[in-house]
Amino acid sequence: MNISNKDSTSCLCNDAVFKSIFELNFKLIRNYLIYKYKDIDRAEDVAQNAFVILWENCKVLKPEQAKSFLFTTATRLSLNQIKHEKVVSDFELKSNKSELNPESPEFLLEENELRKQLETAINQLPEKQREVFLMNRFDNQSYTEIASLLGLSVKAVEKRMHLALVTLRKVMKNI
Amino acid sequence: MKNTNDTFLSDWLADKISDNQLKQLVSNEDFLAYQKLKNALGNYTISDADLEQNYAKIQKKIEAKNSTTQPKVFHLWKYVVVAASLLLFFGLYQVFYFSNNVSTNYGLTEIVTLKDNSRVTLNSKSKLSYPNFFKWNRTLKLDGEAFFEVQKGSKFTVETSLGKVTVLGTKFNVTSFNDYFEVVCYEGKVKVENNTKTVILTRGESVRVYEKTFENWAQNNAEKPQWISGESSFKNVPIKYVLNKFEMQFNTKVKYPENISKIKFTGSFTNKNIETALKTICVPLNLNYKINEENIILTE
Repeated sequence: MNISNKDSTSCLCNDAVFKSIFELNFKLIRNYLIYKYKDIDRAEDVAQNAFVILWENCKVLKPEQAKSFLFTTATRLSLNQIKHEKVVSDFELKSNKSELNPESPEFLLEENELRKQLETAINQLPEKQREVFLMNRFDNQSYTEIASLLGLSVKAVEKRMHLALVTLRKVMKNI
Repeated sequence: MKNTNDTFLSDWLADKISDNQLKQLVSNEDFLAYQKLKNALGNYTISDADLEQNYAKIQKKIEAKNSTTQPKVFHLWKYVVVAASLLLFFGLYQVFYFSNNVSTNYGLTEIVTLKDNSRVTLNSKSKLSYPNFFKWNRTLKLDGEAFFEVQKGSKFTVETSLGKVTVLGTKFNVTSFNDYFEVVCYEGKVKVENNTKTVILTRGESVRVYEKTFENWAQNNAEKPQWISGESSFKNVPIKYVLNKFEMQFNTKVKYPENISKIKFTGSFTNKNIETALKTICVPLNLNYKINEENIILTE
């Protein structure tokens, strides 16, 4: 973090500080909302609104409080906004390798098949397992971090991780 | 162990237990499946967010909020608070201080009985104000002349623009017209204060302040001022103030030569008949009078 200066530049109301908080956290919050509700447009809208509320409270919050404030706010907002309309689009994955190695057509085919299976399996995970599991697997957040952001015990996070993997294994029997 | 049974896969995902340890816990087939899943998951992620676009949208939302609701709400709230506190302050002032007003017109007197059974007799063209909670705060404001019969109790204060009279329980008369201030004590003791002096009057004593004169004298043993029974009486008062009182009583204007204004007058006039009253003033001073429609002219 480049926010450790003690002068006015360490205030959240400072544009540069706010922007750096945005760059550090926007993706995490938006992804969390996608894992939770499987709806990219809504997730981005809610995440934006959480940042607007963060800005409105920039005088009373310290930069180091921003992340957990954003998660709490986003969760609360999404309860209001997403709940009443349970239209859920399906989950889509993309490879995180910059370009696929065109090793062989069979490989590509297999790759494609695997991705589809994973998408289906993740789609079927219960919401509570999916949000925790993907926050850890895709965004590399530790169990402790996830627990504090979502207001859970570390034990609960560990249980959800375990159950999620068991469920995925069951869904993808022929892996 | 139940503990590890619950979460061994999460421990394995977090590298807290090794592949070999996991192999002890699950079948070989399961182990291979888990390993494949772990590796596969590592190859995927979800679509990336367009950070620039999202940041621009946040800025827009903030701007929209700033330009519409927020400042207006805040300002209105501020004004309402200021208005409410002013209103409250004014209201309390009204309730606790001088919210009762009694005033008399030319030639009339009025008797006011206060909550503590004290009586105030108000002479003509005078004004009296006193608070609602009079029992706890016996402070009155007077402009003009009044006779007070005060019941015993807490401190009783009459404030005028020229001085202050404080008593406990007594009868006294206060006159405060323009620059003329007079207090006569009929019973008990009263304390009279103005900017420069403080005197204590006992029964029959009077004090008078006008211009730069401060007079203190013992009066007769009357029970109450004579104006109560319809007469205005004076002892050694400059004619200027006597005529002032006369104007007050009969709602008229009196014109007189400047050089007689300082002549002292002792006596009284009736408040019932203008002609008789005029005679009682003019005859002892050797003055002539002429009654016109809108004024009275005195000549030597």
